[in-house]
Amino acid sequence: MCEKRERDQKRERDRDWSALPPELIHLISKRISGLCGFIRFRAVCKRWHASVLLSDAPPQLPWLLEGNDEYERYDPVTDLKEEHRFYCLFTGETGTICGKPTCQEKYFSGPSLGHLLTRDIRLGYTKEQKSCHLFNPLTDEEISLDPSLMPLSSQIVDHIVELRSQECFEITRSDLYSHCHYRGLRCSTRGGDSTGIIDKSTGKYYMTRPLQDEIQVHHNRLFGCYLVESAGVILRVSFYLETSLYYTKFRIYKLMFDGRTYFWFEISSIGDQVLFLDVMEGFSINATSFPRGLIRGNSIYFMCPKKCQPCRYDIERGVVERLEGPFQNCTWFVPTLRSPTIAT
Amino acid sequence: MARSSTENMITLMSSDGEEFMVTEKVARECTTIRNMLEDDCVITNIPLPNVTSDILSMVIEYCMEHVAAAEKAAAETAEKGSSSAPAAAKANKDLEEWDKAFMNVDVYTLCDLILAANYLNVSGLLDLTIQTAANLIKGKSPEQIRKTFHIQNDLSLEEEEKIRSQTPWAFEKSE
Repeated sequence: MCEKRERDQKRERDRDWSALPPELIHLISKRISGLCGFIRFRAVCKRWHASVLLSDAPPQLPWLLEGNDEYERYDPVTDLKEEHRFYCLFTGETGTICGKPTCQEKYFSGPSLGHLLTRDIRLGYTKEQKSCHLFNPLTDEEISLDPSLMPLSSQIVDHIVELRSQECFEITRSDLYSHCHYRGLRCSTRGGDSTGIIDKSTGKYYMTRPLQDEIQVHHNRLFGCYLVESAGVILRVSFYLETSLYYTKFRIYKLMFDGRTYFWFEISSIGDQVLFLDVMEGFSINATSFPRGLIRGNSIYFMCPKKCQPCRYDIERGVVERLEGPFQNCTWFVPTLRSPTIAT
Repeated sequence: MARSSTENMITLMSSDGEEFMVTEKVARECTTIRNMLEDDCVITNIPLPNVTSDILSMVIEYCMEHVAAAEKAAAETAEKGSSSAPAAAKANKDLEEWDKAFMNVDVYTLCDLILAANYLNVSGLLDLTIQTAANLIKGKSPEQIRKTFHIQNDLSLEEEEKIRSQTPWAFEKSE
């Protein structure tokens, strides 16, 4: 009896979770869903902390980030608040992040590339190009976006130009241009319109025909369209909004090239991809790159434009499901601990 | 399992000297052993100095269950000409349930199983044990994690404060 206890005690000493080889600690950390969980994992003991770097954080599913209470309908610009609540629909993680950009008189202009695009309003519109910043509220890192000094991605330049030209008030989604830049192609369009495509390698300009579906007013109202790069193809997503949310429909087209020109081809499935649509922009993720059961593929997560509440559209069944978030007026925000990097 | 009598048997020896007779097929579930067998096909006795008998018996139990499930699925496919999707789904679910029940162990055993699965290179078991550990961590504060896994907090107050102040939002709801 005594011998057994002694043996057990010895084994308990041997089996020390803090002494696992670093590669196994690393393997466990990769299975932690949610950025908060990942960070808390690193705060357990010295060895766990040293075995896993902050930059090892796995890719994250978008959070809902709370905007301003006096959020204008369709207005992507929210007043800078000291604090933004966040909530993750998939992991249930919740908390508050503090926005502490160097200058207080800034506006958040919606998320961009995992960062918030902030505009300094004090400098006025003429100098605004110089007063745009990418701000990561999770790390407090901020970089200035000065197109004359930096090799900016044209997507951000377009984004900034768009924000300026629209002045962001009383706009509907279909008035907004949507842009997509992928593998040397620059595409831009707006609801019901043709798509302009520039092939940067040849300098050639193409124009697709407007989609008949978008022009003809059916029972549904075209709320807008998005150009989204998804799993190596450029998608056009038409968003038809009805008075009742449950009749909302999406139609998805894939950009194809026939050797002479580009055209849109309607598709009925996006496979394992998941689209996230905001008032301003859309992005795509692959459901299989996240722990199993966390998120279902072939679906579109979008914001109900009336209250900016999250909804999910099942592409296969064509049905909308309203999702329970703790707050209204929110936006998708992909948390990252990386510094803002600008792709050219 | 009827053919097992004609199959090659391998003896695995645990660190505490206990011997386990298993079929070659079961032993091959461990990539480490499979590689040994491929390098030297006459080998029949394999000492495993890093695995105790109680853990080795669990690893063998896992491998046997998974080999049996794969054999059953293959036999059904051969019998009916093609595998029926609902039957395959049910078999998968049964195996998942078995895995879940198999993971009903204390954290010390879980730690040993992770080390053994890693050493013997049983990818399915490593995946299962790592996921089980991750599930135990989910939603817990650092202090709760330490308590669950019996880990001593060897971080100094300053170190802990530094970690927290880098990303205060991650600790808000945890304590």
